[in-house]
Amino acid sequence: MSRPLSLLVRKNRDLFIVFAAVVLALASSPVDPASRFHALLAVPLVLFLPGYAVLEALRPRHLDVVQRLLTSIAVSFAVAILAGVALNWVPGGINRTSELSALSGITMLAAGVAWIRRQSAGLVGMPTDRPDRSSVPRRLLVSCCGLAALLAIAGLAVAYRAAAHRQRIDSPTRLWLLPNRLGSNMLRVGVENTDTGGRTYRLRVIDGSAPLREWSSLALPSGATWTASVVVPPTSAHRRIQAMLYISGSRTPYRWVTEGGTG
Amino acid sequence: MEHSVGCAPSRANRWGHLPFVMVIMAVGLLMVGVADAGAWRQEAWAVPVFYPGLAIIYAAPAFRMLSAGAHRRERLALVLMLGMALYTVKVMHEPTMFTFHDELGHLRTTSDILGSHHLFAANPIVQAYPYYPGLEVVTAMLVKLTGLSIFQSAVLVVGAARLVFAGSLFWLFEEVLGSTWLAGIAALIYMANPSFLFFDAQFAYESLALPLATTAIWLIARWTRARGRSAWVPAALGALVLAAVVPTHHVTSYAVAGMLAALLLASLTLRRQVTAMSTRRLATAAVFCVVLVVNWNRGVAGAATQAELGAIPHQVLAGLHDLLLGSTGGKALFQASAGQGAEPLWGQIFGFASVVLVLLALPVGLWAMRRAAKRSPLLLVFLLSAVLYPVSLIPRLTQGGTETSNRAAEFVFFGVAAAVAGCLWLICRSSAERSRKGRSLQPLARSFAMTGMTVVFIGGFIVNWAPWSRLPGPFLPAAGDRSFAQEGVAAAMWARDHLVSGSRIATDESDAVLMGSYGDLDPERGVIDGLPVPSLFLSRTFGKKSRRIIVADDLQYIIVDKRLAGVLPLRGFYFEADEPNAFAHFKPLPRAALEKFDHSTLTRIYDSGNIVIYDTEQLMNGARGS
Repeated sequence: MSRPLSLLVRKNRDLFIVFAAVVLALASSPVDPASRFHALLAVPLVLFLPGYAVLEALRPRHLDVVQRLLTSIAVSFAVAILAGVALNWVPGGINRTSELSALSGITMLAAGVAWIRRQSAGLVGMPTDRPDRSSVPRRLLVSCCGLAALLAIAGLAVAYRAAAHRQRIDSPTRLWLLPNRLGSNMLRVGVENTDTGGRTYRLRVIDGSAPLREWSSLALPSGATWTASVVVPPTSAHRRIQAMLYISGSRTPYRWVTEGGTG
Repeated sequence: MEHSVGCAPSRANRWGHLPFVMVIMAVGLLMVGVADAGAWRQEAWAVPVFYPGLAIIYAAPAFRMLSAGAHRRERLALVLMLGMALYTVKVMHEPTMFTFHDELGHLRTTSDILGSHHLFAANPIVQAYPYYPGLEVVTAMLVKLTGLSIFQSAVLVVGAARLVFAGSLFWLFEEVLGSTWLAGIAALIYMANPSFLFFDAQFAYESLALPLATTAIWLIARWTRARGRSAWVPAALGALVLAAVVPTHHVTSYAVAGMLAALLLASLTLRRQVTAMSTRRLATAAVFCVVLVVNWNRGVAGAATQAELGAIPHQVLAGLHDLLLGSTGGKALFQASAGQGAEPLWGQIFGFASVVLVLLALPVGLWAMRRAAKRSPLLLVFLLSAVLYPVSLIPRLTQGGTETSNRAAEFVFFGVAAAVAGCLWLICRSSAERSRKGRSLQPLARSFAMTGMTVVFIGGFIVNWAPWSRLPGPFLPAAGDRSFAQEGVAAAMWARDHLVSGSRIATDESDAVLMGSYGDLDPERGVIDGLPVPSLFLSRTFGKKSRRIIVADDLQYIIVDKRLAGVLPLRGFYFEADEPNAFAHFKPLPRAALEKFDHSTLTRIYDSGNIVIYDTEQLMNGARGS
């Protein structure tokens, strides 16, 4: 790299990073929008880069580094909100393509303006604070940061684990019975075992008191869903289908549902 | 003001004691996390671990902030860390899903934007949410562009907003008070406001609007005293951020418009102290904000805003009128409905102490800052807004005014923080003068000040949140966010997958919110054909009136949560705040009232043990036939 070019890159390193991040986010988007890599690029594209580029284009004086970084987030919010409201009135509305185009377009445009203003004014990128002459040894600072992060993450992990465990317990088995869209003589019956462990059930479907169908041993591991269609006799005005789910070995219905009125 | 305080920044290093304070705060966070985990298992030790943890998180930076020796950088870092630590406390409360009413309402609007690609779809949970879609737009963008879930995206968005909020609070107070010492203290006192810990950290519009509004006012304040060719830059940035506040939250945008108007008036009053250019700039900012607010209301959100906010002043005034005339008794403080969920004595002491300390500090702070306020319109407006604090407490004495009082805190505390910081400055100065060391607030005075600030923080949290809401835990019936549990969420998600979107339903308050958000159904409330919809559930029999409600309100599904039977509602009502005997239920809901649907013409289509969904199609067909 020739000397003037390397100087140019060094002076505008931040804008190069902005350009590169936007290009990478755009390039990775059609490949696998749900990938971790794309998510890593897209988060700053929404929450940081547009604001940073706008701020650099306007070049506010007397803002220190932290003020610039946090104001960049605030301005990114503003850009995203105003772009979203504007996109509402565009054909197609607020979809992935329009959002990606709007955010990357604004970011690139603002970064371009920042670049031109810097070149014409002979300015350099974001000022950095003077070297830290803190008497706190860097090693101590880093160690304390690490220890604090570790403790906070441990707290969060403990709370998360307990909440997730409780949510699993609080979600018991469910049974449902719905008309089948394929025909009026068909019903859909479903069971989902959301208990913490596997279970074996017995499922009886009756019409009045006449048995229609029975599954005597329905073994479902935790989290599994089972569905089946049930053919019922031609519709009559007094039809009353009932599905009853028993825990294997029990005679008391665990769950029950009906079709055609409960009373 | 810095030097007059006698607390000038020292020659000490710029990170000061930050590393140690950081570790102490992290220990507090670990304690809160462990306490939350214990609370899920209903361990008795959870509460005694939770509050000390919370106190440590707040007290450690407060103690350091009261020192004269901390550099500006350290003070800013402490404010940012406390802001984020308190946000982590909120995330720890329920790190797997949304559990606050407002979060679920915003979830519905976010889902609608993701599904329809357009704004302003009706929201059955809170009518105004779709018309202030700033938060949902950003969250939906993050969901679409990253592939993260709505919950994960919301945690990121609100976390980023919280970081901005903490920083902008410090800088705004620095602008108002002219001192980093006072700015740090004021920012910490603001964070002690009752709404900061949970309410302003939830996935709700004010959690984004307040940080944006604070940033906008800070930028405008900088603009009013900016000189030179680039003076327009903070104005442009401020205008951009201000323009985003208006479509994000109604009350915040009104508050900003009111504040700018008050600033303009203050500038005109203090015109000898303020330059004409500064007044012109304030006038421009105020007009710009008012035009935006009026246009958004006229063009987009007017009717919905009126529907949501219009009744509040009347409710509060009617409550106060009744209270003064003695036609209704006031609300029993520190007690849930029907005498349940009473606050323990120590909680009541903290709650009262938090209010009394602020009330004592306010006049002292106002007196301490009287001279400075004559020179600064910004400080004058802040101090005048502090006077609203005692006024904002009055509605708390009525049943309907508690929420208004709670929500006022996030606005009036800007002024309260400035005034209380002024009070602490006075203590600091007299302590320094007395000790003749000239620079430092004495350790004893510092400890007192820190204890007072921590009491205001913990007491405010106690005042604002019911005992059962402060820590997580298993399902509780009719208890607000503790009623949003997995069985209800699972039923709502089943409804979303199997029932027609937008179907009209009747159910209890908590399941209505879950079905309206996760389930994409439309819960119906109020009165139909002269009959309150909740009476469908409150009566013991399924008779003519029940049928009339279902048919007249075109209800397609009835959703019953059997866990409501046999218990009194902690929040005072089972179905809606206007139901018969709301806040005066002295007998629990009988099981027969909920099981009557099993002996009716309704079809029982879903059963998860506690939650049952009934289809009304057969009844409706019969009604249409006849």
